[in-house]
Amino acid sequence: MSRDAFSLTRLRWVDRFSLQRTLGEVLGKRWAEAAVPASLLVSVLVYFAMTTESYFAPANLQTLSQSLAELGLVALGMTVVMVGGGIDLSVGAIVAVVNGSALIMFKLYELPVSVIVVACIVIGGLMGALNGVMIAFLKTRPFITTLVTLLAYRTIAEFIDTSYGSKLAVALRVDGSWSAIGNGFIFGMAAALFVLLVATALMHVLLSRSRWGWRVTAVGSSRTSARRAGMSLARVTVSTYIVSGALAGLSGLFLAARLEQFSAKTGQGLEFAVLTAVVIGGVSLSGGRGTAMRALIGATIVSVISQGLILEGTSRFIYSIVLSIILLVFVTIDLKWGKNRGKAVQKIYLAPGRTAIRPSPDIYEPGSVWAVNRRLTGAESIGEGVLDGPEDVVIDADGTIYCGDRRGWLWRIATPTSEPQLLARIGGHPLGLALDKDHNVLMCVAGMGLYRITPEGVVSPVSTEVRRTWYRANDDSAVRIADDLDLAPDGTVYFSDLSTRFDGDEYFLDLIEARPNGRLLAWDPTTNKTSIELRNYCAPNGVCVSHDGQSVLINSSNLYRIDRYWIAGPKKGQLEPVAENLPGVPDNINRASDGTYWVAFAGMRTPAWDLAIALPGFRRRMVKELPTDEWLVPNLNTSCVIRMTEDGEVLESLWDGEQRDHSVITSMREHDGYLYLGGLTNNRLGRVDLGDDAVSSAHEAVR
Amino acid sequence: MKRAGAQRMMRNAQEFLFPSTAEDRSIPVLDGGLSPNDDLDALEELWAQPESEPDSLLVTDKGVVVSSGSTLIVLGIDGSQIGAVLDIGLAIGALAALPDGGILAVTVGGPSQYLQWAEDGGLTLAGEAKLSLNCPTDAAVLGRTVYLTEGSADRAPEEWMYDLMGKGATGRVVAFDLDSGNLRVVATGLAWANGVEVSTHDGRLVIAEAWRHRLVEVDLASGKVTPLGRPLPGYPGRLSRTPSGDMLLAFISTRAHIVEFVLREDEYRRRMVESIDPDFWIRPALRVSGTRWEPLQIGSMKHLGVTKPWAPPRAYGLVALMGVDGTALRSWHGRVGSSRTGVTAAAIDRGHLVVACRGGRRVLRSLKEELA
Repeated sequence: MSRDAFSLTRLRWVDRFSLQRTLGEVLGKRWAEAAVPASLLVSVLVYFAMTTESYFAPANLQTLSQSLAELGLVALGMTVVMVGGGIDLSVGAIVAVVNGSALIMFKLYELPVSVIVVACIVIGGLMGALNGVMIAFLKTRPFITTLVTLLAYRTIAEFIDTSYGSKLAVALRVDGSWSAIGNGFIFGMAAALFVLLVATALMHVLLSRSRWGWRVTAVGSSRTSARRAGMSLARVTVSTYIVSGALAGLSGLFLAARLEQFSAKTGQGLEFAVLTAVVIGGVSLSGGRGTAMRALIGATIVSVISQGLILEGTSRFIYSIVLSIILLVFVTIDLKWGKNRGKAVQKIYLAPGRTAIRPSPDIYEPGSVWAVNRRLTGAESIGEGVLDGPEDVVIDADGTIYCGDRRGWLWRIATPTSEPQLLARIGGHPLGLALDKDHNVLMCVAGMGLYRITPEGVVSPVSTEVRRTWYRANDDSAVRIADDLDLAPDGTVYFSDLSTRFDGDEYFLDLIEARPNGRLLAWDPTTNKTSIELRNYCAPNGVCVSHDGQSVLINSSNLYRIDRYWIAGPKKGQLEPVAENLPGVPDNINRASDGTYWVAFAGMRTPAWDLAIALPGFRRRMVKELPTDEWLVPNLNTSCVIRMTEDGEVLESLWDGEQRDHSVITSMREHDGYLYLGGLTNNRLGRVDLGDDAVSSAHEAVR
Repeated sequence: MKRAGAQRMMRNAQEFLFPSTAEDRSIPVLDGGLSPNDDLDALEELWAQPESEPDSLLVTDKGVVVSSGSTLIVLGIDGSQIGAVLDIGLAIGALAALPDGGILAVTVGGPSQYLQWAEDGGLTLAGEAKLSLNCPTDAAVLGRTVYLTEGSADRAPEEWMYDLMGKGATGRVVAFDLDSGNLRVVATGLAWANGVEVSTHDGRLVIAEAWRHRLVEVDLASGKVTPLGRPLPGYPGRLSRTPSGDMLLAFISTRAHIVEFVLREDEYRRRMVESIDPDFWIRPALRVSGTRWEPLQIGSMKHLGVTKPWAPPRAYGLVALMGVDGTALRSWHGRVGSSRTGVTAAAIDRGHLVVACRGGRRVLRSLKEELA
């Protein structure tokens, strides 16, 4: 069970919620694309409920669900074809042919119903396959091809009508399972509707989760890219038309079983209704975009309107006019919506919040522990000009130095004066480091997660995801900004995930949003599972297991505080403050040799920044109106290292009075009487002799 | 608070419906004659002293007179100090070379002083003038009249940041008659009148209006104010005439989006002015102090130990040569990251450019003859 750290922001319970943030997250979801069609469906239903008396009467509902099923199955097939980048105009004719064939098989040849069911699907599938083969192999245009087959199949229907029409009209056969298909019920709904729902669910899974579905989407999005990715365009294309034909066949079967009659006009104009349905549902005419759910929504809208107009006794012409007007209006709205939704999300996603921070302590007060000194001035440079952004540094028992690099690399430096050697290319943005007992480097990589690098330079992921929180709109299963880590005595790795809302290099956005978006995670080596220990923690940064191994210290870069999370002992699972209202932005924290802790201040709070934190509207407009370079941040050009006791008392602060070589200090590591300095944007590591103050320690970092 | 939100919404709606009527939020880019270079950094250091505030300059044939706070120093061509330092006890806002060879030192909030050349080559007091201004910023002489700019009616020159953040527009131009000692107001309602020079058009003055980022021409007879040239990318300061008839214009700093933004954010600005020391405000500054409470922007963060020159400027060094029509002809820049920022005065000394770089606490001079 994870602990909630929201209360540390000292805000009210309602401040957990933000309309802007929720809106930004929900609109960012792919299913938000269906918001417009879904709202249309609701308004159409409300309209008919209010204007037509018997609309929700059982008889009408049954007719509605049957006609919906027949339309919906065809719409599903059309969706598959359209997602694959094609179009199938012949579906109405296929329905007619299958309808006729089914009746012939049932009434004239008296075949068993199960055979007829299979035959209908196969006939439909074959007719679809013909479309597919011509389009895929003869490279004919889908529109023209299916228009031609529409005429061809329509001719077959005419033939059936003239040859068998009179015989079908007089033949009579009663079969229980046949009428069950036509007018039976499953779970209280029309059998056809049940089949439609199952088919929709199945198609949804197939389209969104299966290899085939991804290939169809890929081909529809970009044929060139799909081909270059090694997909067989022909096979995928043919398969979509087969599916479409088979579903049209199924629809024809239901129609045959329901009405038990045939005319050459059966299914005429169906392709128009189906196209309307899928386009209203938001399936893109240009391919690559569409879901089964949206086809179902679209089909329901069309059926509801159609049935409503029939019930109101309106002529079919009016139906066509209404449909075309809705189609026109709707396609326009949907186009705008689809085009601008991303922009809207971009504009509102960053939703600055408030944290109730107190005024910073006066660091200029004479004689205070914060007075600037020159203890870091003239630090010995390591790897100057070779390293680019070593956020953290770690030293093993032999004195070998390891540090990350902005470019996604891990460096190994044998001695402080030797040339850095590139050990591994990991990717992402390497941040916190730690060594495990097998001499592997464990690394927090922003944008990737927790990684392990062996002494030979072999890279493997350790923990990159956790269980998703079900009530969050945003998928928080990925470890987005793994920041710092430490190992507990039992081998568990505690590490911070700075934000669940922003990615790798967007840590500035989290800083400016100033909401409790982060969390503390724990990776258990025995189960290889990652659990969330602390939720809603505000910008967790440095992580350090205490000297006694009973608790973990966490730095909050947005609340300027350090907390203790108990991982063992009587207080296990509790969170308590260690240091509050610090004047700087605490970054990493590490154990010192004398039982105290080193904490790096990546920068100092400024009065202007603190005021901006108090005014979320100011920050919201700032990020909207100003270019990124102009955004206000804490003073990240003035860094220091502080030494703090177990109780959070700050003993001393170490500064580079000139702020020249180490403009930002994000981490420090004590080893053998020296303090090593790392910085997120520096071009070197630093090393300072701690002199007589330091206790000689073998290697502090390894547990 | 509620009202501010409603006003903002109205403004946004107006901008959406009638884009052309919206307020112009753009900052002119540094191009043309104002294209960035490092020429200010290339100038030779003539004089420098820690804690000094070299403010205004006066080029004479006996040496360059520099004011720093309440003191006056005369510098030779090689930067050596000529004569003794003269301390007149009151901060000096402007210097004017008088037709008789003397100098008028216009002080802040007290009687101004006439100065004479001393035996040792330095300056000495020569009597009080009947002139006392609260906020003198620059002076220009035409005939027997000294024209003076005053930044604000209620602020001292050192409090210019309060006037900027208060959106002050109480600056004025006055004419001081040397013979009668009469003072006449020429123009009022200027947003920090920060520099004055006699126009090449008869009967007009050119005024630098800092908070409106522009040069204006003021008609001496009617006091009518007309803009000269296009909007400027910085806050203009003192003006001086070059032998060729153009003008040298010193800029306190260049404009930054964040400052313009804070000027639109009334709530933030009010609380900032009320509760924060001006050193730590979001505002243009003469120099970047590097202190820990100084505000910082993302673009100003050091990367690999370097501040990029195109980072948003808090302080910037800029001197421009302006043509008579108000267009920039060429310029000398001390870009972001340079220590030569916050130029308060510039002048031509026998073809050499002399610059009072107050932010950098030094006086600079070009090695070559830049403007013969």
